[in-house]
This record gives sequence, C-alpha cells and structure tokens, in this order.
Amino acid sequence: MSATVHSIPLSDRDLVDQVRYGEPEAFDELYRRFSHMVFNLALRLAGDRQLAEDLSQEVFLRVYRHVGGFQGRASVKTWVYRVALNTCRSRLARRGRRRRVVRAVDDEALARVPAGGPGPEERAAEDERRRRLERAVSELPLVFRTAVVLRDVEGLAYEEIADVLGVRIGTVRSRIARGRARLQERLREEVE
Amino acid sequence: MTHAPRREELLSRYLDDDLPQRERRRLEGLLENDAAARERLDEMRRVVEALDALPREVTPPTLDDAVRRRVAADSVSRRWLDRVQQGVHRLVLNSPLPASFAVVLALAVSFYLLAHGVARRADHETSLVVAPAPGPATPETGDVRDLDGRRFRRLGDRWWQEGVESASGPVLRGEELQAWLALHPEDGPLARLGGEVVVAGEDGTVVLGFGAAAP
Repeated sequence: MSATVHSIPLSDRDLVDQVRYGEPEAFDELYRRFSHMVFNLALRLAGDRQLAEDLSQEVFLRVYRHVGGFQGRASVKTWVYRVALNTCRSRLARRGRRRRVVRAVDDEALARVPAGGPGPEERAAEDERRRRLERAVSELPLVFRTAVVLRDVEGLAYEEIADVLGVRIGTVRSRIARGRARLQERLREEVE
Repeated sequence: MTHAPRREELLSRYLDDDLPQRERRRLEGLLENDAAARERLDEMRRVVEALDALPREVTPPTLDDAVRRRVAADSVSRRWLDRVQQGVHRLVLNSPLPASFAVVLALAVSFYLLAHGVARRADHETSLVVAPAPGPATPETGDVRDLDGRRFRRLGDRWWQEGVESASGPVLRGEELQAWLALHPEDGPLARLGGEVVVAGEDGTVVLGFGAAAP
C-alpha cells in the first residue's frame, strides 16, 4: 500500500473525494497516511498487538464503507480518529468480560529495540518501566484511557479531543486530569 | 490547596499550558508554599513525559495485505449490490404495475423468512455448510484429525486443538463466528470438523461453534 495518487500531494479532503469517485489508488494513499496513527491508537487502547491489528482492519473497512457519508464538517483526521475510537470502544467493551493477560509490547517488539546506547541492565529496567506504564494505561477505565491516550500519546489538542469524542472541552479536561491522576496512583502502588 | 479533583485538574491543565494567565499565576503562588502539591505536579509531569516517550510501533506488513484484501472483497460485493439496485430501479420505471407486485411479494417473502428462518437459525445456530468430516469417522472418544497442519482430538462433543488445556468464554456462533472467520481465515477449514472446535486464538482460547456435531 504505497501509491501516490498525483505528483502534487492531495489534501486529505481531496483524497477522500477521490476515494468516493472510485479512484483505485486513492484508498491506498488514505491508508498510507493514517494507518500508523490508527494502528498505534488501537495498540494503546487495546494493549494487545494482534487485537490492534484486527481492530485496524475493521477501522479501514469502515472508513472505506462510510467514506460517502463524510460531510467535511470535521477534518479527515478527526473523522478517522472518530471511526477508530468507535470501533475500538465497541469491540473492547464486548471483549472486556473475557480479557486475558494484557500486553502491549510482545517479545518480538522488544527484540526490535536497537542495540547500543544504554547497557543491558539499564535497558531491562527501562523496558520494565515501560511495561508497567503500558499495563497501567491498559487498566484505566476506557473513558479515561481514551482521553489520556489521545492527549499524551497521540498529542491532540483539547479542542481536537472534544471534537473526536463529541463531548465538551470541560469534560475533556476533567477526563484527562482524572486519567493522569489514576495513572499516578497506579504506578505509585506498583512501586510501593 | 483546593479539593482533590479540582486540584488534579488545575495541575493537569497547568502542565498543558491550558490555564488563563491569571489562574496560572495564582496556582504558581500556591505551589511555592505547598511542597506536597509541587511533588504531585512533578509526579504528574513524569507520567506525562513517560507517556509521550512511549515508542510508536511500525504498522505490521500483514495489516497492509489484510486491509487491501478486505477492501477489494467489499468493493466487489458493493458493485454487485449496485447492479441489483439499478436493475430493480429500471424494472420499477419500465413496468410499474408488475414491479409493484414483485416488491409486495418480496416484502412478504422477507417477512416470512425473518419470522421463521431466523428463528430456525437461532435454534440450530448453523451459519456454515458443514461438509462431511475428512477421513474415517470413528465415533469413539479420542478420534484424532490433522487439518492443515493442526492436530485436533475429539473429547466428548468437542474437537480440541492439540495444546489447548481449557476453554473459556462463550461459543462464537452466527454473526460472531462469521466475524471471527473474516479476521482468521485460517480457521475456516475447521468447519469440516463440525460441532464445537476449541482453538487457541491470539486473544486467548476460543470456541467456534459450527452447528451440529459431526457424526
């Protein structure tokens, strides 16, 4: 999936129009622009690499099916985020009952950590800290997890998060604050 | 300082530079005299920095292929549906009276199928055509089958993939089963075993219900 539709890069909206008109390479390009964002969001929300991959597939299938309904009131990025979040939320809510071991980074991913830099002990300690943080994130209630991931991992502004979630900015502020506070508590408990 | 939720929100917004100038100065004044609040702020800052430093994962190449395949399949079925819709549209325009009759008939048939067919499907919960099981069918407990490199053993009414120790979670049937198979096409051939098949999915142990048990 690495097609370029035109030599001059199209805006996201023009690209969406191309997908609507059935331009075969346009969807490839749309996927290329947003797959990284969608996969990482799904990974942080789901806490499981394989599930994140499944979720990402569903997200792009929904994007493809519903691209005709995109009205352009929000940016394409916001719309894709919204589709991704709705997909993750509905699937994760169903999955909640039979969730097993939560793990965001598998051994394969750990093996990709580049050699060099800190020594093996520091790296192991760093990996352990990261795993603890990922576990704490994955244990947050979904509303707080979503807000914290969108703000602190994805780097969205408060206004963008409000737009994606369809809630008021005050709610976003509160959810981020409460999510961060819960993370602090969780990490403190683990250290103690 | 203020009560906890309000305090957390102030600190959180302070870190995000989201406070109005006046409120920011006021908070900084309070922080100067409150060591516990300063500690709380530093702790929150460390969490935020750690989250920001989480590595961005590379999109797996298998995802690219899977998305392309599913979108292509969806595109074909949508084109087919469009053609059917256009055909119906033309029929209605060209011969309104027979077309109206056809529409009424189709609605009646759909209603009948919904009322009876779906109920029957819920009873039997068969969503796939189950072909006869390969190899000699031995009804005794302990029957073993090799299927696409995976080994299954029948214990009671269930087929168990070798290495799976216990089954947990609900049996996936109907639409749930179809959704699973769309994501795990490698499990499609398991329908040939029939009955309930216990497999170790990536998401834990999963039981797939392929309708009535194989003879």
